[in-house]
Amino acid sequence: MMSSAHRRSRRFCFVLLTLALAASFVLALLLGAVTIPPLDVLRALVGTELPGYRMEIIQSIRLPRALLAGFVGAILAICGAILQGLFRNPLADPSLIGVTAGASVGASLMIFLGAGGGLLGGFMGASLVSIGAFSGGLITVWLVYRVATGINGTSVATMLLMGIAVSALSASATGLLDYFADNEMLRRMSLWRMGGLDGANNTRAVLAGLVLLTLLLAAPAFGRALNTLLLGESQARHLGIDVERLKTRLIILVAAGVGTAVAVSGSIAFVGLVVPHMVRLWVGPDHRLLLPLSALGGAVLLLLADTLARTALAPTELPVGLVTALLGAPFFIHLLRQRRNFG
Amino acid sequence: MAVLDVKNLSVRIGEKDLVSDVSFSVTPGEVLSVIGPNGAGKTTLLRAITGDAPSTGELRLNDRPLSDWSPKERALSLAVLTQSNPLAFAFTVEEVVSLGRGPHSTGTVIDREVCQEAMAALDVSHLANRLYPSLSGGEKQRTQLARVMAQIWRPDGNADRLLLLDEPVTSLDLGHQRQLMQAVRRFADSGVAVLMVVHDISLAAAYSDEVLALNDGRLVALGSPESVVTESLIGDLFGTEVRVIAHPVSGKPVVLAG
Repeated sequence: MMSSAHRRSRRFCFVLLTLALAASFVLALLLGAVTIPPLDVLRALVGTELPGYRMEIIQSIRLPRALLAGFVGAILAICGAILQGLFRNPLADPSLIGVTAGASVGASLMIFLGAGGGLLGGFMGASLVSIGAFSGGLITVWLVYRVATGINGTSVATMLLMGIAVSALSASATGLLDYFADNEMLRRMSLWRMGGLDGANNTRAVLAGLVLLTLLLAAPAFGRALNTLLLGESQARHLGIDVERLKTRLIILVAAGVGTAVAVSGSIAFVGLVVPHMVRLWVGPDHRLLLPLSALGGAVLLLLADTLARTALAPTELPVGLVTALLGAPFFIHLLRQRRNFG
Repeated sequence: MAVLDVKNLSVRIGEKDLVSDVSFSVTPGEVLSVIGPNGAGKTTLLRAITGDAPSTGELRLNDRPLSDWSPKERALSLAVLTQSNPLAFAFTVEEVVSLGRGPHSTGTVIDREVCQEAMAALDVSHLANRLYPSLSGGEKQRTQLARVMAQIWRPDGNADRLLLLDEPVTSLDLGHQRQLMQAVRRFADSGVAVLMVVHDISLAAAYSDEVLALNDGRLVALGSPESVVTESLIGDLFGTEVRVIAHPVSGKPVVLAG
């Protein structure tokens, strides 16, 4: 059991996860507060008018939401995998470098200002919250990176500590906003922080899709370099890798990825931490496999979690961030117990 | 022509001179061992050569200043085994060794062949599918050396190759120490210049063409093992009384304490 014999073949994993993705996508379209027969779902997708607003439900509610869930899940998982490679720590998490915390401050600030002014409600307000989250995340990463980067390059340890410090600072800033917010704002802020895909629309789905496409196109170029980086930074340098440039590029990719994900769907924990970890236990740490497989796995997990969040207590919705943890954590614990030797 | 030419190399960190005015060169096929007490600046010397520590003086690889080499180009002819190699991810031994082929674009067939040969030379072939974190310290060390050797196993381009090793045998048992040194020796005989830091003076004397003694960052002696490994010089260097005898078979100097 200490050899690579437990690893599944790469084709097996790709086929299995692709099938799972297709199945969970179909499930996300089929299930919802309103029962729609499978045949009608198919008809609605090709644009046939159906009684009871069934086409509208599928085309403007379930389809964009399923797409957004898949895209965001994939982005979070791939960013988690990149960060874990960058920090050479299999338990690193996008929230480690402060994106999630910074994004929370940005979003809370927007909710605070928006609701107070009374002018920024509705769609306009939701978009501003997204922009606030995105900017908050980017500013935080920039700050962490600037402090951690000296003449001798980026220190991973300093960066982790800065991530913690910035998260603490962000937590007190959001706490302060919470304190001054009224009941309505407080509720919106805490719901946003739990994460949710209920704001899904075509614009958000397209935005997340474009960011995911960028990440997937960039991934092959970084796979081998990330593998080498796992040996250590000076070891990677001795193997001809321009380590500083590699780290800068990866951090920008991750900041953009997680920032976008948080902006369109709030903070959804667990996907970025556990999906890459599970894939690694399955196929090993080779990033050339890990990055695309994590994207598939993240999409499947978030699609299933969101479908469950929508249907479990229909017509009420659960925050999807709670469901991802509920779905994934027991599985993760099981894997850790079973294969604790393979970290 | 020397593969590595070091002239007046100094490393100063803060107010402290870690390496002062050291000059030497290594030619293809030559094994040069650096010996000296703890804190003599042996590792700093290697780190200065690899560019991991800031230095002044002249460093030339294949008669071109080292700073002129692009990282990628340098990796084709200069391989380095550092003292600590932490790797917590569950790569197999074969995957770790094949990471050494990263700088090359020789194709999977040749890369695979090279990895097999390097693993055989370091006696880790039977561990090919084992996961790196589950190996013993000595097995990890041999795997890392196989990776570093695979990086410059065959000439790629016209440049001569240089291997830098920082205490490669420290965690190995007697049998594998000898096996590893023989592998390094054979590697050097194929035309590679080897510069290594070794703690065991007798081992350094047995397998090296030249020995460089370093103390307090200064070059104390440089020459054949017989000329450097003497009772007075080693005794002074380490501040303890030693006896040096000739090995009954090879005739190389062997250091005994007291």
